[in-house]
Amino acid sequence: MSDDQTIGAPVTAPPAGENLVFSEDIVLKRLIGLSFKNLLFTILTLGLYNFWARTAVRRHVWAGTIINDEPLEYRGRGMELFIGFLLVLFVVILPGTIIVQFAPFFLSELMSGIVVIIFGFAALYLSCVALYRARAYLLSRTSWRGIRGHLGPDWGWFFGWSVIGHYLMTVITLGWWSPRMRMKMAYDLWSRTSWGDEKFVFNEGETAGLAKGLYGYYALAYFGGVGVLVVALTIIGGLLVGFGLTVSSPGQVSPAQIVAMMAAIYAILIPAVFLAAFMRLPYEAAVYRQIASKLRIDNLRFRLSVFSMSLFWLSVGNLLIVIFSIGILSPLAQARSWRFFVRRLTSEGSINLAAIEQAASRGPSAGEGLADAMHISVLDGGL
Amino acid sequence: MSEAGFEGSFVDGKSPVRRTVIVSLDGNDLHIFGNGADVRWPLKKIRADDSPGQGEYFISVRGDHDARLNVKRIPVEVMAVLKHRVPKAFSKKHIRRQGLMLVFGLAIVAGGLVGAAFFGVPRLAKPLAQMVPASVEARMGQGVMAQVDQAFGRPIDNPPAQSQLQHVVNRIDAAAHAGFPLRAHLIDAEISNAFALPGGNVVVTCPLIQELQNPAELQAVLAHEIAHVTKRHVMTGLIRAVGAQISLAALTGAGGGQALVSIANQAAQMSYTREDEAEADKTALAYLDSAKLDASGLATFFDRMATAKGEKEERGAFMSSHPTSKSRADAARRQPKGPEAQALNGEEWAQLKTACAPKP
Repeated sequence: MSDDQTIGAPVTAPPAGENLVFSEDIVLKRLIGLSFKNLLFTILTLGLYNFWARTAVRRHVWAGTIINDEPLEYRGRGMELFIGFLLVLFVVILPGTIIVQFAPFFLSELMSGIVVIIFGFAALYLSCVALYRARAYLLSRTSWRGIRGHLGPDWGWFFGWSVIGHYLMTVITLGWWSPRMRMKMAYDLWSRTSWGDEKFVFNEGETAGLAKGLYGYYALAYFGGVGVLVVALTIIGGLLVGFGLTVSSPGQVSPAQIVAMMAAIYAILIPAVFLAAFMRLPYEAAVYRQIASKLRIDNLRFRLSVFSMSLFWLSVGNLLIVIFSIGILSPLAQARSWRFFVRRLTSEGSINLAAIEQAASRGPSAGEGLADAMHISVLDGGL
Repeated sequence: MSEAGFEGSFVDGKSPVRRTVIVSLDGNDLHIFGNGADVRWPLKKIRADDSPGQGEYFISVRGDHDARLNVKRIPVEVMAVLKHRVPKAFSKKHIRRQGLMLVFGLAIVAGGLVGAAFFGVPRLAKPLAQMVPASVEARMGQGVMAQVDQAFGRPIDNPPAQSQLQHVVNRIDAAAHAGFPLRAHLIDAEISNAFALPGGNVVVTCPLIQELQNPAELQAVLAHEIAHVTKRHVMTGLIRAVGAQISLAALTGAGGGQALVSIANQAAQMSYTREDEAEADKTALAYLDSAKLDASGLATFFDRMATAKGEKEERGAFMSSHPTSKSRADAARRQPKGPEAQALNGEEWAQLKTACAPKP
């Protein structure tokens, strides 16, 4: 009937090296409809539909992400997330609940206090493990031209300890370890990430000098933030003292005065927090740029052109969307963030697609249970 | 026999090479061929996702995890066949119905969990409580009492008063045979209350002692609380509370149902049911009877409570968990007892009252 000649432009093997062009056609309007459908179903199922809702949003966003004229495919299933959650429910949450509830009955006050501390620590540790495993799941369910992403080997248990170590260092150094921590976590995750069997390389495999160039931005965020808060607290302190001097006895304070005082405190504190966050934006933008610039796959390098002001408008827009829709439209905010990064991502050099093969491992069979249990948002996890 | 082919784009899932292919329906298979591809996918094994907003189908086959056939347009006559042969992949109506079935199924699961929390757990709690060995409950009791001062109030530092209270409890225990040691605790607290904790710990607050008018009322209250212990009402309440929390954990973790948990917890914390209270009353009467103690306190005390309740609603926890005061008082009065049968004599009773008198 038909032979090869009658078929439209045959795409056999891609050229030896290909540059990648990222684009998107995510339609936010469609996500609004989807958000309300998800809300309705989530209410009807008392929350259980949540796993399918999340999957539907991802399918939309992935399908709207185009690399060289071909969309990403999200292959995850709501049932996988549900099963992942049930596993963690039975293995972690229920035993944990029962032990914490009954420990006070069987143990001394000291011992049951220790049990609670151990469980608190375990929750922190598992959150870190969850970050790794959730990313492994997400990558394994993301495919382009039929080739899946891959995070491996299963290194999550070690990653958990590593992150806790970094947190400790951050506390000890009063925050100054933080840029190093961010970059080392990116290193740990990206160095184990591959597309098919082609590994990503982060900072050419070097762990030295990862955070170089970030500390200037961090100092601005740090001293700016501390400065703003000190000024704000000083003004509030002054107000309180001034207020105290005008009142002779505590009994004379009227409720109206207390309300006025609280309003004044918030009127100072809220702008101060925003200002402190604003001064952090150059640093956040620099971290994104730095991570992208350190990344390589084959001979392809990346550039993420993210700067403070665009990040500012993205955050403000998302904040307003989430607040005014009381969270219902948060998929819209997630899609906006995703779109924001895709639009600013470019690549240089080339990747030899013909040499790439599918990774042997299919990734975890169930997904994100730990992350759900620990209430971690996977998309904020640095992907 | 092969029908007319249409164009698609195929990846084999082994390497990122996309091939333009011809797709045709061939008997029970979807035949994909051209540009080096030649595979047959059994129709009954294929699934399809229409990519959101693109009008494009991602077609895959069970048994091959990674291969994908992307098709932009499926000819109408082929679509008609596919809809008929593989409705779960191609019939929009079928797919929508499956989506609704999923929501319906999940709603049933959610309803089941809520049902378990509000109906199943309360019914199972009692038989489960009976299965907890007395020794285990006694150990739990030790743990609870180590923290009782934090949770409820400090035991008053008055050994004679504490031992008088214990003496009354021991008299009743001679009849009750609780199976583990019953311990009485007199504590300092804001509100008037008496309650039983796991492991046979019976707690009475000082304000309650002040409200009681004679030793008969004290032994009535203690007998009632001991009955809660021996009938395992305490353990039942505990299992009910934790059980409700556990049955709803699936919903809270899934991001919903937070409100349900607090409702269930509140319901569970109304620790005793009316049946429990009635049983405790009946049992208390029997205990007092066989311990040859005056049971008239049960009537006088609960009469007063009933009157007070009528006058004033906010009377502390003791009142709220004793809803049937009036009818219980009527029942208790039917069993007259000799006035001499008091666990404490006048002098001891006065000492106890003094121990609980408000400090100047």
